[in-house]
Amino acid sequence: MEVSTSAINSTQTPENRESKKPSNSAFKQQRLTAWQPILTAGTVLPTFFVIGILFIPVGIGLWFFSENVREITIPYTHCTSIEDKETNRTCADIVRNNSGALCQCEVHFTLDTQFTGRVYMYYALTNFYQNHRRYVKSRDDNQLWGQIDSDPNSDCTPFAFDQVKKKKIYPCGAIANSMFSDEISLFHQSLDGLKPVSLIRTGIAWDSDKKFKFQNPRNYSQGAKMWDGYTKPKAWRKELWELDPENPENNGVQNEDLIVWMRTAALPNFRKLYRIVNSSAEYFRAGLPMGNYSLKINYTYEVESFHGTKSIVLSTTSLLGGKNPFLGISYIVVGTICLVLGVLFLFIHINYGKSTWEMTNVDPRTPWIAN
Amino acid sequence: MEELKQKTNAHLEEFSTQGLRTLCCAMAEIPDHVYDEWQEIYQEAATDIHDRERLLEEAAELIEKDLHLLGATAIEDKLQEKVPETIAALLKAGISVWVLTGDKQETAINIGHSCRLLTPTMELLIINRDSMDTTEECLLNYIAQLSAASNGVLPKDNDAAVIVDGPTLKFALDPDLKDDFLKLCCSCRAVIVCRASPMQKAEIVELVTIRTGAVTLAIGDGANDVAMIQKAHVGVGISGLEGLQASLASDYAIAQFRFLKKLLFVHGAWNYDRLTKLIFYSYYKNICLHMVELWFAMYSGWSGQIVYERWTIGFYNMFFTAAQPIAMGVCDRYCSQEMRLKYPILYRQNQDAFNLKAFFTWIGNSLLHSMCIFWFTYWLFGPGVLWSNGKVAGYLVMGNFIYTYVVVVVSLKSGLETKSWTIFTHISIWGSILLWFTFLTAYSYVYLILPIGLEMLGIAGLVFSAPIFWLGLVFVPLATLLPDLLFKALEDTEFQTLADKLRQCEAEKVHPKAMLEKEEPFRRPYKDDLRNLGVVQALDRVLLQGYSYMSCFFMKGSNQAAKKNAQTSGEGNAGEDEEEPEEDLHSHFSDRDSDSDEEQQSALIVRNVRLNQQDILYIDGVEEIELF
Repeated sequence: MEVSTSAINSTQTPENRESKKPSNSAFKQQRLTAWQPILTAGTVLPTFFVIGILFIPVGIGLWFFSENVREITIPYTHCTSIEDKETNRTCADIVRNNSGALCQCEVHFTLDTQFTGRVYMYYALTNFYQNHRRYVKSRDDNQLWGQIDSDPNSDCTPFAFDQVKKKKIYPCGAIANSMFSDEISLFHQSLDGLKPVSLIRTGIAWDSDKKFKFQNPRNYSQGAKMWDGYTKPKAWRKELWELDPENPENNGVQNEDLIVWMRTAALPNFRKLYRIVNSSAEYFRAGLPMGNYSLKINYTYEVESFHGTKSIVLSTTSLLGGKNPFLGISYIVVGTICLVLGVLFLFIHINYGKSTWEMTNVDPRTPWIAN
Repeated sequence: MEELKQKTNAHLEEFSTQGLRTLCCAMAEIPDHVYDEWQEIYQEAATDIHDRERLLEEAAELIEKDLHLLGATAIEDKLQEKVPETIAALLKAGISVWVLTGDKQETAINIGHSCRLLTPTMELLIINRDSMDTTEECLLNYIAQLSAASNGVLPKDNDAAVIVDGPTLKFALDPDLKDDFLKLCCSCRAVIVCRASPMQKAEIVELVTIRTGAVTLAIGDGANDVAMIQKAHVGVGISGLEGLQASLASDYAIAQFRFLKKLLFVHGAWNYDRLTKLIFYSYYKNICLHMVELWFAMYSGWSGQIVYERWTIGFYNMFFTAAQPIAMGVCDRYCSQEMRLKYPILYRQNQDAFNLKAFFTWIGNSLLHSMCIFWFTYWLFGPGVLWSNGKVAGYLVMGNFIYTYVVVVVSLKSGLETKSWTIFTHISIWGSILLWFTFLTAYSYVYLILPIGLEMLGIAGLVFSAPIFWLGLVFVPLATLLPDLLFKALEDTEFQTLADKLRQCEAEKVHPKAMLEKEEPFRRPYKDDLRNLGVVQALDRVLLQGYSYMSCFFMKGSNQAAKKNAQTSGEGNAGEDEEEPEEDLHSHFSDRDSDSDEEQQSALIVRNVRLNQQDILYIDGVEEIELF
């Protein structure tokens, strides 16, 4: 039985009847003011031209920035051992099956131009997947913060326990275990003979890492109580307190080389900051002068087993960092493309586009519309 | 008795041709004891559990006999306001309109005419038989008749209407005849079913819904429409004088029939467009983010290392890309309300926007974007020395670079796809990007307060202090979205859809009339002939005086179309002024749709010229000029 709704409503007086009318706000009635982007050739033209005109000079500037950075890469994976110069045995051979063996080798190189400004020394590894998931996971942040009371984190296995010595490993994990252990020093062949280039070992790690992620346990020196239950990682030749013999502050897990190594790299071919050339030394105030140089390397780090290579990179930096022409070139390319497109669209617009003004105004000169 | 019956019949005919709803009244005198007996039977029937309906019917049969005819009554069931206009608009939008009513045939036909569903020129195919065989014969006859013109193939759009009677429908819906019946109905412009019971209404709707695969909408206002409302894809109930039954059972309830126009053309079209964009965009933004992991896996030994930090991944859909699809899905308006109501043809344009091709285009687009973002960042990153202090970045720095660029690209893409930028669009785009920067900063230092986020400690400092990051922030989104922008600009220039044309007109505040006429490069010498007829002089005179628009159009093709349009325009002149542009538009499109290879005959029909809405000058005498 249909009941008319008007019958119900009539019992209410007009005053106390609630209005069911929906609110008339712009949002609810979908009348919000809006901008309608019309993306025809004519409207997009100015954008393309502006981008083109802005990008090309910026790109050229960026490219110059990059060109001003001086960089040289010196590979040394297969450098010949100093002791075995007659047999030409490489350090790689010596280190291959002998973990813990030390080999010394020397590499000579020339700088064609002067490296002005601060010069940074990096070691570069290839084919080393620091970004592998199991590798990235394999660390114990509590240990690195100095807490040695509990057992190592299970993520560290199989680098958490030394079966031979029956002791826990400090610092545990694959990252710490595979720490770069070559020692490199730089010499300059000057007129007065071979000059060692003074290198700074600190200031290479990020402050936030140093301050908040790495702290030594209270007593970690040789003979301390902690070494009853802990031992160093299996692949290390040096003990934890021996990492920096010159600077006692830079030792233990607070050693900056370790900190730099523990920040896992993004890609399999990476470089890490090793040393900074000391510019307060007399001869090298302006940077590294042109000339002959040689690197003396204590080769202990083995990379052959995973087909990797090692190199030393000497580089200055610009405001934008290291040498990378990609940004400059890409800006130039995009700017050029935009200019070309702008011209193309201008051509299309002039020849085939019709402005709405033309179309809506009929004057004696309007062409007759015909089918 | 017979005389009374004949008289009543005549009255009924008269009433129904006037379009009134007729009812016959009859009476019978029932003595008390008969009634009491019957009452018991009826009670039993009413309370039966199994066969209630059938028993009730039988009980009713017992008492409803030997009735004495009194006469007939007629009610004028007024059509609601603006029903004819709404139906005309629906037809223009390419929507097939079928009327299913319980009225008699003549009433139904009359109503059909008055609401402009049936035009005077339409052929009425009446199917009103009383047996299966005759119905079949009739159907097949009609089909043969219609396909005669085109070699036995039933043409798609006939200028005919099918009128079916309720009892005949029973035969027509028989499994043998169903297909033919449906074929015939679908090829005609309008279908009217009269004397249909609620069950039959539902049956027909179901037939169309299932067999044709079209989206069906059923609209009704009484309890007898509930069944059909539920069967259709979309059920609309009109709440009003007949009660709330229909609206309670429906998906949408409106107050008057004419609101259907706005419901479909404005809200329906807008929401379809919004939903399509929202769905595609949701796929797009997630693929864009997560595909980067695949490209990174190429460089991380396929070990499954994620390049972003895990909580940033978790918050992506919750915080940083939640506002954009909402803003698109709630506030975007593709072509304004006024335009959509004025030009129903727009409804037809966007009907298949959600298809496989569009889907795969979006997916391909998102793959391309993820590749661009990853590899541009990869090359930008280089060996990782991004600061003048020579220090080196780790994988998280690269991850956050990529994440930032993804958020920016994805936000700007939502802006590119939005057809009308409201305040919410701005908030969603710029707000999300800002939110990400704020979050990154906060998350980088939260470890100082709470024991979470050790991995991310200090990352914001690293990322924001690298000039390459900011240069990349300008370059990477731009380079990634440049092809998109290019594609859109080309599409809008060369292949502009009607809706976009109208949007452009509205934005530039010009009347769309002239915009709709496609220009052809070559001229034909009509001018001289027309001058001789004095038409052009008249036009010149008129045009010199202020704003005017001319409703004139050229058609190619047969004169048949011309005649038809001239006629409908004749009727339309009595109606509102806004109708005319639509009709031009309609014929503009129908001519484009119909492929006619005939020799190009053009006819100039100038129907009227309006001048400042005050002086109306009709050049009606010039109906048709054939020019060669």
